[in-house]
Amino acid sequence: MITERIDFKKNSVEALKSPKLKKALVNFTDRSRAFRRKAVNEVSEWEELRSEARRIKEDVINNLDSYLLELEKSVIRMGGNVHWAKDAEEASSIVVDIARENNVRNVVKSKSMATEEIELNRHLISNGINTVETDLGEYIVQLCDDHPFHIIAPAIHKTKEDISKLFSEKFGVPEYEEPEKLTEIARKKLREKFLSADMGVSGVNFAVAESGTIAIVENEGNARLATTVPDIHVAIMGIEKIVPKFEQLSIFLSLLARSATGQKSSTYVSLITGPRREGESDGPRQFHLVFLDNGRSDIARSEETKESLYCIRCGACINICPVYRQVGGHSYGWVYSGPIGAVITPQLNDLEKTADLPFASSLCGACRDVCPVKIDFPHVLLSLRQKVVEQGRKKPDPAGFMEKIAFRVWSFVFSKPFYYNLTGKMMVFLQYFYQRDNELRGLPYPFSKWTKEKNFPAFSKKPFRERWKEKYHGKNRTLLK
Amino acid sequence: MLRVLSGMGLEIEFPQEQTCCGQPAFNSGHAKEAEKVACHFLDVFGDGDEAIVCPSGSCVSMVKHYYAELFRNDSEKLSRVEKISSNIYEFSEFVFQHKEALSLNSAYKGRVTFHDSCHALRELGISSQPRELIKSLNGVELIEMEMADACCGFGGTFSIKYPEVSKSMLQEKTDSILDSGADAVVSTDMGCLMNIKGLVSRKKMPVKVLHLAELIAFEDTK
Amino acid sequence: MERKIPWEEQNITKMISKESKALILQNLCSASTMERDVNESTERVFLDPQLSIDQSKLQNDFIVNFEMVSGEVHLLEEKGSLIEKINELIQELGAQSVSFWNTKPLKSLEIASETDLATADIGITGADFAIADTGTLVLLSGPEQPRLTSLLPPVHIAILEKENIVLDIHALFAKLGESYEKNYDELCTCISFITGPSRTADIELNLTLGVHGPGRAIVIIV
Repeated sequence: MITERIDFKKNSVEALKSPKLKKALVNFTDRSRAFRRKAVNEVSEWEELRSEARRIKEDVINNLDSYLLELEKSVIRMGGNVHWAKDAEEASSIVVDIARENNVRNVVKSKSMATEEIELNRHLISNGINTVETDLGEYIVQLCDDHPFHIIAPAIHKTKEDISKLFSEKFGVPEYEEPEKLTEIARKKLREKFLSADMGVSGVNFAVAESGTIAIVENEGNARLATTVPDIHVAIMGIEKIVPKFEQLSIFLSLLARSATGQKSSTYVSLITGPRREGESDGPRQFHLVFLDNGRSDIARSEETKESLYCIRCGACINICPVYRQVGGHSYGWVYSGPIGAVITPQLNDLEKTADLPFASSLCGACRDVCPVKIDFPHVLLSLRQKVVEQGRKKPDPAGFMEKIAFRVWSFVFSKPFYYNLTGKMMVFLQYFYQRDNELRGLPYPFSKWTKEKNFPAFSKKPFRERWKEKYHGKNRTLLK
Repeated sequence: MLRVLSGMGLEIEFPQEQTCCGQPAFNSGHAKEAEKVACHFLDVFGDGDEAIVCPSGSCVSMVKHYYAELFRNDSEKLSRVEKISSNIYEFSEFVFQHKEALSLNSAYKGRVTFHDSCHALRELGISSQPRELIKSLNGVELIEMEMADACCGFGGTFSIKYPEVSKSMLQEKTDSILDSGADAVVSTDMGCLMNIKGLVSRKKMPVKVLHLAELIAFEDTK
Repeated sequence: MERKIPWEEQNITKMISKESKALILQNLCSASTMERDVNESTERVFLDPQLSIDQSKLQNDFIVNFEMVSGEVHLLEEKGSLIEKINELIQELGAQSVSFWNTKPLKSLEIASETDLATADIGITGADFAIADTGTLVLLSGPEQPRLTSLLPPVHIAILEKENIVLDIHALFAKLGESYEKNYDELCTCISFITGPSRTADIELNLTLGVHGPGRAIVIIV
């Protein structure tokens, strides 16, 4: 939960100062986009897959209550347990309680945005339970006490040198530069953790209502280890993650891998159904599935924005976003960044504290084009902007108030041709003080925000409509030839 | 634009009362204020019997896609919106449809690169039309820049709300324009053009910023 | 940390969960305005209707795609030589200890020394299916088919019968559907899709193999 207002402007200005960060971002986004494009172009039925996935998700969100009940029944039938958490606090305490009931001391975690959302690590650790992130990127981030930078690539903001120094400090090893060497160190450290863990915590990519199966997608194998080695497996899922039919997984799995990393398939996909059964020599003895609402059921009720819940967390919108490319993940102030962050953070948190985010987009729509479930991001952002303005009407802040007045005046002027023309004339007069070579500079606030870096075109001394009038003697219509 | 269209032998009407489609307010979340201006737009362009041609894809997209949302509770206006929507065109789209009437003798000679305006590209599906038009002009060569379809950072009030981010996006855009080696950048949206030109002329970059109409009807003044 | 939680406290969680369940469902109730979509055509939509797909093409595609993700493939012509091939690989890898599935082709083989999984140098498994289009092995878990054999040792060798290669992921799910007769009550506890060795690009996007899972993934096709 967000406690302080997210100041996107401050965060982004800060991020823009770092050339190192910019380089990493350009590198990463260029590569992700190219990989994705190649992988998508290989699939002739890509558009049909997207439409089908969207149709399925629409159905799921429209009937989420009955699908959740079906999923619960299936999980229980297969020997698992289901827990319902209305908010972050509750979800964490459910996991802590499961851990305590079973005298758990060591927890291994695989990457999960839902657990980031509920700040599970903090809760577990403050209850005296050792908790280790095992995805290499997340492990690095945890070691520096930082937050993930991207939902798929959490540590892209760290350089080899950063990591090499970090490992050397934490483990007393020499400062290796080679990624292979660093990876090997992490593998050894984490392998010990896996083998001594009593509980594994994972997220859920998809949960199948009819079979009670959860799908977990990854490349490293840490999620497989975390869900197989320890005696207890707790999986945390946002309630929107449901897929009705087992066979529909094929659609979502092919969309996810190609959209996320441009792979034909992620290295590992695990379809887990219930705890270990009789005769099996591995797999957890207890399986718990936590349904996390945390504001999602409210989104499901909003006709205008419910498509935010169709998201399968592939990150394609982030990788293509020209704003993210400049400012990076941390500017968005919470777990989710880029377009999906701008859309979902304000809906899962206090709108007042997150009001900057719906405006942190140029509405270019590139995200909508790459989204595997065709979320209409500009539409959702616009609808959230309206909500922010409406809320501002009730609880005005100075900047919002000024903007409101400005648009009131604008709306008046632009709906009355007389005043529109008059204003035009006034501008021609006023601009005299700022004009140079038919362009304006150094305009007063708020236009100064524009003219600080760029010129603004001057208003024509004789507006087009007057020239038209003169030429055609006030007639509206003419055949010029 | 006028010169291009009239050169095609079309009768042109310019309703003097026109102002704006309302997008600036709408995109900033001020639906009420946008609605007022949009009503004015409907009053001015009311019946949609004649084709409406606009030099910015963004405005066309506003009318085509977002008026329906703005007037969702007003069935009378909705039916007018529907009529207008079916007969409103972004400039390059319109000219391309009637290209046989177009004179291809632009006075402009040189290499140009094309910047896709986001709304024309992604909300109206316009990408090949302006490119085909540019390529068909005598003495004009089209060279593609890297990431021609990336946003220039304008985004209406976005460029005022987050000028630093907007500038950073624009910087990348002007970098790819310069890297392309073209001597002019052409686009079909006044917003993008104003934004790009703002930095180009401030930094005195050696590249012209032209609307497609300006390119087609280019007059050698020097 | 030795303290046991009193049962009352345990029940509180369960009560909270129950209350939350009611709350969440109530909140969603007003969202659920539509009937469930019963259109079940989905799983068939993306299935290639061409039923008699050339098996040798599937095999070739599988090999190409599996090798593309740094997997290694050995093609075996006669079944008899499987044991030789495996022993050859064990030799080649200098492995001291091997762990393997207790299933048909492997069970009857006389493989050097079986050992504890956590310390094994090689894990040898079967592969229930493979997907040509993505280069993916599909392993079902079961009493004789532990999950960790393909995961803990640094090298994973899988024996794949070429009849079990299917075209794409949609065909795979159709095949699973067939073998379970669409009754997923009996679904095995874990289906693992394995596409090459374990990998990461978390350090400056450098591709590194063998992070947590095997650094080498070898398939012997029989």
